[in-house]
Amino acid sequence: MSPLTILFFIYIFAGPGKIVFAIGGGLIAVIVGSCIVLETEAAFMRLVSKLQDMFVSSPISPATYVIGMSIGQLCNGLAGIVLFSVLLAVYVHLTILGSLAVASAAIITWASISALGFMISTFARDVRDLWVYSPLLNVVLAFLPPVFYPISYIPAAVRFVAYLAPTTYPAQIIQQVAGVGGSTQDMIPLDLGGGVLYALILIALAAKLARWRQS
Amino acid sequence: MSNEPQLERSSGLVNDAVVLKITNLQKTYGRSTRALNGVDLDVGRGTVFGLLGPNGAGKTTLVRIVSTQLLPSGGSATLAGYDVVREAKAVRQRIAIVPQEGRPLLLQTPYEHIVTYLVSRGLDYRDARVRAVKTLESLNLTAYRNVICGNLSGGLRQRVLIAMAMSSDAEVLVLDEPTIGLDPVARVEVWNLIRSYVAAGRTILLTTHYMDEAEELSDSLAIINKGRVIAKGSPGEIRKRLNATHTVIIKTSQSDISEFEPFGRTLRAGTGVRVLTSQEKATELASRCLGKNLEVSIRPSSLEDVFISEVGEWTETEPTATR
Repeated sequence: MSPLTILFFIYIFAGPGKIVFAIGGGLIAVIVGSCIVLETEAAFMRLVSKLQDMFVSSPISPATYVIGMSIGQLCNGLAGIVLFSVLLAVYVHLTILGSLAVASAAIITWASISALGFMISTFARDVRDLWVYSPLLNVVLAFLPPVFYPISYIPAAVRFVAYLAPTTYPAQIIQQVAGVGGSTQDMIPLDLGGGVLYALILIALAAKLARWRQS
Repeated sequence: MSNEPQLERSSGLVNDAVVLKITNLQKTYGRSTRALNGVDLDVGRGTVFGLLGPNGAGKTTLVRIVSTQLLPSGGSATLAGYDVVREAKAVRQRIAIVPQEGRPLLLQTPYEHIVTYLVSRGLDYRDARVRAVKTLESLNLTAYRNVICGNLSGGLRQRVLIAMAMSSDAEVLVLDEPTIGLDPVARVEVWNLIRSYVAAGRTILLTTHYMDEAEELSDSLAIINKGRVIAKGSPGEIRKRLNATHTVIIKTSQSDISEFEPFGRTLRAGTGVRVLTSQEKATELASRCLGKNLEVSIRPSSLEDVFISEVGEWTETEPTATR
């Protein structure tokens, strides 16, 4: 509901001209909100139901397990993803390349946030430890970075800080496809590369630090 | 009850094949918490091997290492010839585990649990559905096939987890305290499931702190305490360590129990005393206790007595006369 709320407020207070930021941001935020819950779900499977133990002691690989769980979580946000995708298609005249770029942005968001969520879950000793983190991370990843607003709002001297958030790259891609925010479509490959690299780093970190087999 | 004589089970090496070999297994948590302190075990193929011990003895640590969830600090373990550390993938093809205090997902049905588990183990979806139906039939869960687990009793939920593991037809099934928290009827149902699985030629490694369960199910077992194996063999072989056939349980609050020592090994146990002795002396001791109006009972010595004599926290005194 939060992304829709943001969409509403941006439309009312910033005007129709800024609605594309709300829609693009909403798409990212819905994916973040769906995938970051993986930290709690994975911790629940490990600590409460103990079903992760059954899967560890089976032929399934940790990658398959995590991908399966994260796709499951993504399904929770399917309605929002479809809604914001439709709105994006309505308000932005997407070309085939543009659609591919938006889809890539969505996939980058899904992969990086799922990896982050799973990595965090493996350090929890109690599911209650994580109840605080999901909403906090949701704000830190979806609302603080330039996901709902152009990056040009951030002073140039500290703009690099925005790129510490994995959601900045896919948000920039969507804004560039829509032709808003100041940067041009020439920047899309750069942000795509940055987003993919960031996602790969998070996946590698998750694979290394995640405690599939504990020591 | 069957009239057939109770056959003494052997040490469990059926067909002289060891499917799980544990050598000097060690595990230290942090800097100083030694959960396993050099454990050596051999588990025979086609048997139920029981691991009996109190809470904190190291049972779960051991099964987690064997089932490739945890790395050991030292020693080795091989399952079907594959090292659990270096060849974990091969080991995982051959095992299935039911973890301690595991719970199925409350909004999924038993059928869905089994299908999901089998597909995750690499089975084709169609085959998984067929096998799930067969497993539910064999475990008497067909009536609950489409009932969400949230509406099942604790015993049935545990059977769902066991059904998941058994549906895999894994060579070795690891059951970590499978009957904890279950009522007596549910426990017996789980015991029957375990017997049926082994009857099909599979091997089960079972951890429990229930003496009767260990005695009832195990072809061979090991008693473990503070990370060490203190006794191993068949239940009969372990009972022989007592050098006693019967246990006299006396309810008494008297502090001086030396009067019982001439009859056998005397252990203080809670509000009373246990004396491990022969049948003849047990009868004599019981008569004497009855003469003093003490509450007394006699029963054949069991694993519980071995456990208490080796592990118990109760005050222990040695007999002053030879038996």
